[in-house]
Amino acid sequence: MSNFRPAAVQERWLLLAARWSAYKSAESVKEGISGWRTVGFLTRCAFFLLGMIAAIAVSAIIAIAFRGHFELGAGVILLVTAETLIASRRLFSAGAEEALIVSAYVLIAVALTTIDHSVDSIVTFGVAVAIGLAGIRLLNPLLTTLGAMTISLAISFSLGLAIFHSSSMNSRVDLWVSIYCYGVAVVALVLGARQFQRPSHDRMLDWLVIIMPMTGYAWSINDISNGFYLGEHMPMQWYILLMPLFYAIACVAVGIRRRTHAPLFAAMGCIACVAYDLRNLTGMPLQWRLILWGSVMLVASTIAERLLRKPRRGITSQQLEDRNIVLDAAELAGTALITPADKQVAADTQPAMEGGGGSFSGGGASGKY
Amino acid sequence: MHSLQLELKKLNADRVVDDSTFAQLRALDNGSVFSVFYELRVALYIAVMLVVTGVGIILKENLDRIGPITIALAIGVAAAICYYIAIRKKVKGESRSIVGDYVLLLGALLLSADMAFIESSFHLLKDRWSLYLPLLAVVHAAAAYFLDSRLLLSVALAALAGWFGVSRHIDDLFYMYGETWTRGLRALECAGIVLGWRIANNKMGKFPQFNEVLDHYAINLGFWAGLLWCQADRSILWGILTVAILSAFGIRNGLAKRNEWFVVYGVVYAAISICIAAAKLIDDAMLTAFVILFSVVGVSILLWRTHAQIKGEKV
Repeated sequence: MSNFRPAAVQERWLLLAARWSAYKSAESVKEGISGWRTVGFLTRCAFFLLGMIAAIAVSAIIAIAFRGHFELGAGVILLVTAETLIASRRLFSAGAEEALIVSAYVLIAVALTTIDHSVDSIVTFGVAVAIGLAGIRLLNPLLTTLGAMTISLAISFSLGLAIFHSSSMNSRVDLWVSIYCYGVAVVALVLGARQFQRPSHDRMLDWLVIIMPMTGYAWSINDISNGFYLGEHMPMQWYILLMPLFYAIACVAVGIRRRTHAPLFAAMGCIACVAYDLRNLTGMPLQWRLILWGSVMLVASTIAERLLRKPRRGITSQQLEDRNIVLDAAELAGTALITPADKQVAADTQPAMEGGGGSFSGGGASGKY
Repeated sequence: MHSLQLELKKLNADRVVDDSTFAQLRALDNGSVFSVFYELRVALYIAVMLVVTGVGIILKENLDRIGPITIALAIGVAAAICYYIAIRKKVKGESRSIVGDYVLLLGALLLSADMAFIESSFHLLKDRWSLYLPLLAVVHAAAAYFLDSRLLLSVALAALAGWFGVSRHIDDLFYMYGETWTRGLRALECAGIVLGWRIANNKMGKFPQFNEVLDHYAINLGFWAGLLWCQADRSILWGILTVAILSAFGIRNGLAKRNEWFVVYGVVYAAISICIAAAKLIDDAMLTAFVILFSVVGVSILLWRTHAQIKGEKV
């Protein structure tokens, strides 16, 4: 039995226990998991944060002790610690070991790519590969996606140097980087049709399907940020508009056909990109566009919810699985964030209050800083 | 794609799941039944955010062109329609759908924006203008209880926290100088009021689903007070003490209720306050790094043990 990481079958049992937690204490599930331990999303985030702080503290200690050149030493210490933790505790997706391993890989990559002198493109490429390898080692989709995104930055530096002899950004370089991002997304979308033994491999593709087209869009508008105008027939403008549009259409078709969520979320992101790009088409002020798009989304969601209340070809708008407490909490926190409850808005138009009370805020505040 | 069919078959063979549950789980896994509930939820949240942001800009920029009365009326009518839809459902005795929840949220946010606008345009409350926030909190809370909405309760609590001057931006915690004592005190007062509300709600017993929301707000506001105090030299000890007490309470409460959230709050806020305090109180960089490292390792072990205890696993 490997202590390196769970086997595919063990990973599937771990997923089953996480997805249908009512059965996680069943003997069959325990036997399937074979002693591998994982934690919930929130605890994983907390452990990741603590792991990152620990990695920074170790790096600082080595840097102070050896007066600079801490990367290799700190990287090796963190790597040994993380691997020992995984092997001894059989940790999988627990947060702390993920933070330590990604820090270790990045530090070692920086150490190896800056031995003689540092070149932006090589260091960036090294860091990208390190993050990607850490993701593959840990079967972590966030890290593999971050790796793919960082590679886009490395490509930008490399192309800039090779073609224009300058590491500064250029619209033609941005176009090629954007094509790389869309290319990765399309390959991930196509590969998603395959049946994977490991759920984590499927998730890695899902993340690429969602994030990479938006990264591609961001690169494509890096140098041309005016949005789409009718009458201007620059190929780049059509590319910027049509790529996310076609990708969104493909994603909707694939998502419905395969019954998977990632392409549908990707389509939502790409439609947002298209909407942003068309911002100059109507000549409407920003506020009316926001209200219009918001209302369109609200109406479309209402129609979809009503149509799918009774399942159609197996697709329904009803909640079928357990409450997602993380999403619930995010929803409540998000509600608090968008609530217009900032006294400064009112204070801007109010005469300063002279009566008693606090000087900054709270009951009887003057609004003065 | 991946499949859990083999594992589900084993559960069925071992009689952990009966045949009908097995059929349901298998349908969920292979996609023959597929829910777009979360896609709708995200789309609805974004839709509400876009509309509210748009309305916010209109309130800010079009006052002269459209006129304050027209704007106030238009937004008021839009908010009323949203509330009317929810109230009609309630009167009919039907349960609200996910769309209904978000339309109600939109109504509440429009009402908040409208009240702020009316107060800033017509100065109805004169010198006591800031009272519009607690008024809003009361209105939203009443609506939350009447319409049984956790989202409205969250809006009410945000309005209350706004009245106490509690910032909702995390960066304010780290880049706020001066007035930290007063701000911390107000955050703690707000936490106390929310805690009192929580106790009253629990005693009332009709809305147990609100307890969780009130718990989250109360403990986070308390921790924010502690972290604010950790920023200033003169209040740092109070800050550490507050965070320590709340952490102990959070971990104890989390263990008692088998709720992971409170344990995580307790551990993470404690770790952050230790880092701030170490950086502020210790001059030697090496010693600071060692203190932070050992503290983080300590709280990680604590989190691991409490997590295992909650999940009933061996440490």
